[in-house]
Parts: sequence; structure tokens; C-alpha cells
Amino acid sequence: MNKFIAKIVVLIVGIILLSPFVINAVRGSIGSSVPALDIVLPEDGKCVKDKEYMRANHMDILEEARVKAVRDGQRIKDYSLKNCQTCHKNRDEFCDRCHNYVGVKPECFECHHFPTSKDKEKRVAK
Amino acid sequence: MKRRDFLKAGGILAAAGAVSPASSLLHAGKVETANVNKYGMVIDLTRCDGCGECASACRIANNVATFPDKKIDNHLLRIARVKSKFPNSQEQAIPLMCMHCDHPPCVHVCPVKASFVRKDGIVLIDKHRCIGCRYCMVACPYKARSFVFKHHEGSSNLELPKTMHGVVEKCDFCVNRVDHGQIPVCVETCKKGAMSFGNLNDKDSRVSRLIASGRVHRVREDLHLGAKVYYLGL
Repeated sequence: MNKFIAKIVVLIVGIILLSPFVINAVRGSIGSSVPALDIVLPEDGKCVKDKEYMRANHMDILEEARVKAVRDGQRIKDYSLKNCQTCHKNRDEFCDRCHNYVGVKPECFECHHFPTSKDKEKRVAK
Repeated sequence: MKRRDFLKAGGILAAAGAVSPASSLLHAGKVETANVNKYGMVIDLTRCDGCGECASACRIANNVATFPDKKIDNHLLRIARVKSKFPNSQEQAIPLMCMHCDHPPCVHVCPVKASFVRKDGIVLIDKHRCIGCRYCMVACPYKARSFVFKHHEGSSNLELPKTMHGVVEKCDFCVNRVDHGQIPVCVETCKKGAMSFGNLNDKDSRVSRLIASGRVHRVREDLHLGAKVYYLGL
């Protein structure tokens, strides 16, 4: 009798643990559970590399460009943080939305200036 | 597979990994060739009257904040006023900054290799790397370096990053401007024409000719650090 109860308990716990996967499988939305982040993309739609590559590797590109600029004095204009700003006008509508969702805190903007929409409002107010 | 064969294969793989060149993410079309310039500065003290415009321009251009508390107020370029002990001697203003030594003690002591000498002789701090230990400040005989104690909101020059608190900052010969073919802000600002900046390897440049005249001196030449800031009339 005890064994029977133990089996039932294991079954119930297993169902509870697996339920998120089951629900997602039934809904047919596995792998697409990321909400639309409402990122404002530039109208042009062209970056220095294609979109998918930039999504995955922009941090590595920026870091390598940074090392080259600081250490070797090779300032490659295409891959500088300044060049990002020519198309992505606002940090809080582009960079921050994704960073906040993923929970990463890049320290670039503590020192490097990247305009936010607040800056723009201030400038207009002036 | 025998243990011996396995180790052999592993060794071959490791050797192949070591030989293959490191891949680069950036495919820059034109990368500048090796820089053969060596930058230096000559300051003519007979023309300098210590107006301090170079220092204030430096502050604005390099995002150095002004704090009323002198303990935390930093400067990349300062004007020292000295007077000899002889009677009726006149006060002499001397602009002092990082001397960009050939053999900088600050670079030697840096535990994280944040300070380094660039190929063109400019001594730089990689502020991304600096941990703020301040060994370099102790090592520098010119007191050219200062620690950023306080972060300031807003920056006077948006083109350049401001410095976060917790790292060391110093004069970098306005490296951002130099890389784009301009001269440092202090040299550009000086109305008396007391400062000149140029390539020491180029024998026809103004700085080389002034140094070749033999009338120049460097601060603390006895240390043999190979400072690249020369003074006329010191």
C-alpha cells in the first residue's frame, strides 16, 4: 500500500514539474516564448553586418574594436560605438530594452555618451 | 586506442591549435600601416606667461570635472609657478603634464597592464582595465597622474568618454585628436605660441629643430626616463 502511495506522489510531482513544457508543447510555442521587445529599429534597416550576426556578436565586435582603438590606435570607424549612434538614435529605445530583458548590465554607457530620448527632450526644452 | 596513441593525437591537435592564426571578427577594409611617428612636445617658457588657458581648455576637452574641494579636483595639465631664491627674481610659470617617458615607471609597476606605451610613444591608460590601485601615481616622479574620486554627471565634450570614479587619469596628448591628424588642445589653444607638438622622428618638424638647437631641457633629466616633453628656457 505504501509503495502505491509513493508511486502516485512521484507521478503528481512529475506532472507538476513537467507542466510548463507540456503547456508550451500543446500551445505550439516552444522556442518562441520571448515577447516582442518593441525595439525601435532605424528605417534604413542596414547594419555593418547582418541582423542575426549583430544580435549574437555585437558585444564581441565592439570589444575587439575597443582593444584595437585603445591599444593599437587603429580607429575603425565602422565598428565604433559612435558609429552605432548614427542609426540607433536612442539608447533607451534600442540597447536598453533588450539588455533589460536579458538582465545584462553593460558598463559602456557609464563613461561613453550615447544619447537617450531624455537627452533629446532636454535639448528640445532648451 | 592505446593510451600512447591518444596522447600523441592530443599533442598534434594542440600544436595545430597553437599554429593556426587567431581569427578576427572585424574585417576592416583599410587598416593603417605601422605608425612610425614618435610624438613629443616643446614648451617655450620664455613665451609662456602662465595665463592658464591651456589648462582650462584641457579640462573642457577631456571631460575633467571641476570640484571645489581641492583634494578631489583633478587636472591633466597644471601650471606650476616657481621662483628662484635670488633676490628680485621673477615668478616663472611652467605648464606640467604627463612627460610621456620612453621608459615610464608607471607602466612598469602597473599590475594589470592597464598603463602601456603605444607604438608612437604615447603613454596611455586603458581605463577599461584599470583597477584603481594607484601604484602608478606613486611611481610617477612628475605627479602627472590623478585618481578620479568622484563621478560627475554630464560631460563637457560628448565626443569623448568621461572618466568613471575608481580609475586613474592623466594627460594622453589628446590621443583621440592625434589619431585623427589634429594637435592636442593645449597646443591649439596657446595664443602665445609657446607650445609646439610634432613628430620627433621627422627631422624637419618644428619640435625636432627646437630640440636639435640644444637649448632644451627636460624636467628631472637625471632620472633618464626619456621624457618627451621638452622645455625651452627652463
